[in-house]
Amino acid sequence: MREMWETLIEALSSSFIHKAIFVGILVAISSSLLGIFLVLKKYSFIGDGLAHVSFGTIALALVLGITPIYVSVPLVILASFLILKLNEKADVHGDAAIGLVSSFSVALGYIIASSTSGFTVNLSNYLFGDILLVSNLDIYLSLILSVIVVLTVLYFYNDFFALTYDEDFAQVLGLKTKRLNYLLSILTSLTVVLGIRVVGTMLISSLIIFPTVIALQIARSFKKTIIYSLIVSILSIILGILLAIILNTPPGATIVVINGIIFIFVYLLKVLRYKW
Amino acid sequence: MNSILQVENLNIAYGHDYVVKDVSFTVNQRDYVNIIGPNGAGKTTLVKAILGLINEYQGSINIHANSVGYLPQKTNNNDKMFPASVKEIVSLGLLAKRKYPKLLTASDNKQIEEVLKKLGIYHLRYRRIGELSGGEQQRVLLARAIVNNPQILILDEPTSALDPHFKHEFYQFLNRLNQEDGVTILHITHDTGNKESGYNKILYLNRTILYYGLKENYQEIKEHHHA
Repeated sequence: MREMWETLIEALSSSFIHKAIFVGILVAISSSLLGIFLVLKKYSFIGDGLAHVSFGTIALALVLGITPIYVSVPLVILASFLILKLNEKADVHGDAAIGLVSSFSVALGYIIASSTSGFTVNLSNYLFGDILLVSNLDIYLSLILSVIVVLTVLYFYNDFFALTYDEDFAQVLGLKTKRLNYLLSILTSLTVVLGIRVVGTMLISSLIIFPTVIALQIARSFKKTIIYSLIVSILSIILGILLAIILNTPPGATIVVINGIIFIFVYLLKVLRYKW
Repeated sequence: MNSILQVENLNIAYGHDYVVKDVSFTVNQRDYVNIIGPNGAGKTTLVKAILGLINEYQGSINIHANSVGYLPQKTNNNDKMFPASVKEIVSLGLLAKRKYPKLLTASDNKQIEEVLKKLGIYHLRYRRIGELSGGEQQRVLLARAIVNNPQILILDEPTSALDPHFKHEFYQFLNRLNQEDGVTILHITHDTGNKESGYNKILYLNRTILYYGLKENYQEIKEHHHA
């Protein structure tokens, strides 16, 4: 036990942990802010789908020898547009469109990865992420991307709210609903690419879905749902990183498990409150 | 009398099937038009085109009003878990033509509270929309439609979910909006025999217009046909 504390105190004094917590909080803010719109629009799995796409783009970047984020941001945004277009023009349902684009990208990424030897270990880092290895470049990019996401969501907050509740009425109000959907896709793509460093492509959608679903159990208004989901998201990232250090577990997976435990706890609390 | 809505030679087709054909009419300010017709007559399609929800049509639609209120048949969002309070839903009605970032002011809040009081749902203001009954939800949507003081109010069969008591209040409310506040009303309804509704015109649509004019003349034509 004492050894664990010593490990934690020693880790807390080092700069890598400060960087990890800082980047983690940025990702937590962006993902939970967008989560409410995506979960309530029944687009929860767009995060998962775009994360699969980013797996393909990372494989491509590693083959080309380019920092993955430079390749991932534009290609993941393009893929999110493709999902929307398939849904609009080709009459493919939203979930099917996500499935088509994401599985195609994973297949392509796997072919690229298997045809070139030497970077498969690197690629596996991106599958589950490693927030304890964030570089200074990661910090700057995370800061820029999350500031873009936060400011855009705040600026268009009421429009996104109207779009999420009732798209027809939003159109009657004169809102450009198509453009807003594309904007939401761009922000989701940025958040997914950003979150891969923290929990990896396999688990990024949990950062988008869990905090909102937890907040939905207790909140009675849209604003409170966002506030609660921000608190849950930030708390789980910090707790996850600290527990990962103490227990020597993978940080990304630990963060997701903590989200799961908070969900069970809040859900049981809600059920008990109704019963008594 | 000034016209507030002009529809000219409107044709709307799904594939080769015309849902609305050669429809032309003019609505004047302060008119209260009941739009009637059988199921599948194109009433909702016509209204959706006027509201800008359908953009693929031939002909022209001109609205000379700054704001339009819309009350659908029922809420489009059936998610009981949707975490929006009644007050938040009504605030959406104020968003049109607001400048970004569209923040609500203290006077907006006052306006919202006044509408909620007027419709007898002030006590529900912090409740989740999904927890309310169908009738209560309709009142919330009516509050959302009129909170911006629209010059035209368009209603698509909103009374089906209402309890009989509120139905009476609802018609009284529409009559006051029309007669005292001068709001022009277009109301799709099946409730044609309702004596409480203060409408002055009837638009009988069955893909094309079969009658458009004063309600008195419609009665005469109807009686003439029966005779």
